[in-house]
Amino acid sequence: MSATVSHEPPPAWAVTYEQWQAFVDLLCEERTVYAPQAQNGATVYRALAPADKVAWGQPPSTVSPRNVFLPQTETLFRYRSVAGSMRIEPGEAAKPAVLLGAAPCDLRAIAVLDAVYAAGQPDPYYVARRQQTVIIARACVSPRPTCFCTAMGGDPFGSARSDLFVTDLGDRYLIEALTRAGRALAGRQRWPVVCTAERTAASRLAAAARAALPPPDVPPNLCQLPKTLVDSPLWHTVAERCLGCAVCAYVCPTCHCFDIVDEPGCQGCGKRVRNWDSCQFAVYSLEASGHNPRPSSRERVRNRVLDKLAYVEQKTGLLGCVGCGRCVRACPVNIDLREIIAEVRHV
Amino acid sequence: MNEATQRLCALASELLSSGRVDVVLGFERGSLPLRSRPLHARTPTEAGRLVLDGFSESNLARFLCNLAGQRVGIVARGCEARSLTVLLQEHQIEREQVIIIAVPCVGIIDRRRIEAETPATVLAAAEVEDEILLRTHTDEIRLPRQEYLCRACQACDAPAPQGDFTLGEPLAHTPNCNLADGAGAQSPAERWAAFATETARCIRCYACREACPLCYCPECFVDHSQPHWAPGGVEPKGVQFWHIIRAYHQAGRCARCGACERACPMGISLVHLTDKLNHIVEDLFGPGTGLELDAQARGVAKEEQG
Repeated sequence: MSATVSHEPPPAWAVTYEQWQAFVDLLCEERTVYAPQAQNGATVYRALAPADKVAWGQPPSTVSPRNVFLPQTETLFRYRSVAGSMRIEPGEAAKPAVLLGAAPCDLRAIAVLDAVYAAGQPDPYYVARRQQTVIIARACVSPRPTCFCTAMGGDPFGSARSDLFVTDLGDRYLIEALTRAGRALAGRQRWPVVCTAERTAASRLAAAARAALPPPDVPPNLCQLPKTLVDSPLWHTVAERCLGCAVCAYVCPTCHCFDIVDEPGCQGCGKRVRNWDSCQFAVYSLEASGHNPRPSSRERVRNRVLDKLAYVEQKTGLLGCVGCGRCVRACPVNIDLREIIAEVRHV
Repeated sequence: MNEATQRLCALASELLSSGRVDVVLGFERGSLPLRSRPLHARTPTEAGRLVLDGFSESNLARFLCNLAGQRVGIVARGCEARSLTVLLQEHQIEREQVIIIAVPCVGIIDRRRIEAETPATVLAAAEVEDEILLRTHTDEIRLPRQEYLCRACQACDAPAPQGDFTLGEPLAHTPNCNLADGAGAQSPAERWAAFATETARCIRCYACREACPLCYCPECFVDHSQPHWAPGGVEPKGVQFWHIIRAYHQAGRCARCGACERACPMGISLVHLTDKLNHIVEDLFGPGTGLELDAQARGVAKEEQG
């Protein structure tokens, strides 16, 4: 989990696709391996079953890999009423796992999740999963037209927070070990050590990927939220088109809201469950009194966008958007966060 | 810009500048290839951005209930007109509130299928007569338009609505597929297995509900907490409950537009379920949900007969 500080380039190997597959097969025997899988055009991170294929495809996936650390539905504990007293049984314990195939934008998003769930008062469920999960990320060799990580201070070859980092050189993989956990995994393999030509090839791919993305930038610092922006008619325009679904929030790698519910079963049994939730739903902010502080789509849309561009940064020091473009691709009415960011610059 | 689009922009502009409507609901070009998106045009300048194309995948009638008290010009294809009729029958909008700009529809293009079948990144897309033209970094690809229509559009038997204004020529169109055909031949166990597999990837984002012009309840049954009708989250029980009840609430009302399916980020075949119900309703009560403006809603007609 923790990155080692070193001025030397990390240890690296050049492995054939067959050698890599054998390695993944081995991992699957030892740990739960979460990898992107394609399901009718949508790519999601799921635990690999023996016959499953990894959908390497073009990152990023349709839905981000945050479900590996924060399952969309998670049983926190089960309860059972026995002879007048309540018995509590823990939910499923975290097991050793691998997150395979995360993109550099996903790695930056994990920093946001860490700031929310692992700092201050740590969330034991998140921390247990996070600590037991090795992250094998991959360089983003061919960004999508919707990608804008560079415009949010990111990099398509940014490897921070990964244990192993994979670059597809076109005929083999360049594997770098960035942490002790990564070195421990890779060190067991008899892989050929990387040569200069392979490092050069990777640098060339990185330059090409960067050239395909928007110029390096960061969005305007909105931490001192200007009133003109809060009151801008922009939000009304966006809200008028917005359907009020949660596609943007549920595909997002940094969104992290949840709802806790008790699901009663029969005969005094039940479970307490934590589900993803989204500020785009009217019921999200509906209070028990019936008052809703975000009564219309305008307030809800504004909240989500400003969460990405201001609120998360105010709270954690990190930008709430990593520029993965998932929401841009998935929005049913083509609300394009890049256009909103451009407008925000002019407000 | 084609002739029908020019006429639409001129008409919308005239309706807005004369004050006959407050807003014209239509589509504008989106920010991505293969995408056009809903536009609320409130000025003649904004009306100049309107387009008529096969990349317009939302159902505009979905926005009508948000525009209470405003006079609305709505660009209506067959599916928008059918939805609008049901909204009128169910007293959700007033007829006087709406000016229907009817456009004969040649069908919505299934962009997901195109994206899935085109390994290279599509940089630009256009419709040229009966072909879809795609540009990638290296190639120009031509696809036969008719073969790349959304399933709901392939099955549509009423693409040319009646309106207060009509743009374009009437269409000769015959449906060429029956969406729920496969389901009839399956055993209940097979149907259930297919349904469970299909819905297993649902992420409960409710894009299907929000894209639907006829899911207008201020509070959806899944959002009730007391009583808590349905488990939230993505365990199969809750997901299956959601999809079944969603479909049942559409029985006899579904306008067969397929907007739910096009909005789904996970590519779940939602039309399959509603269309089976539509066929059953048609068998029992006759055809024509949303086709006749003067007809009463199905439930009402049944009560009075009984």
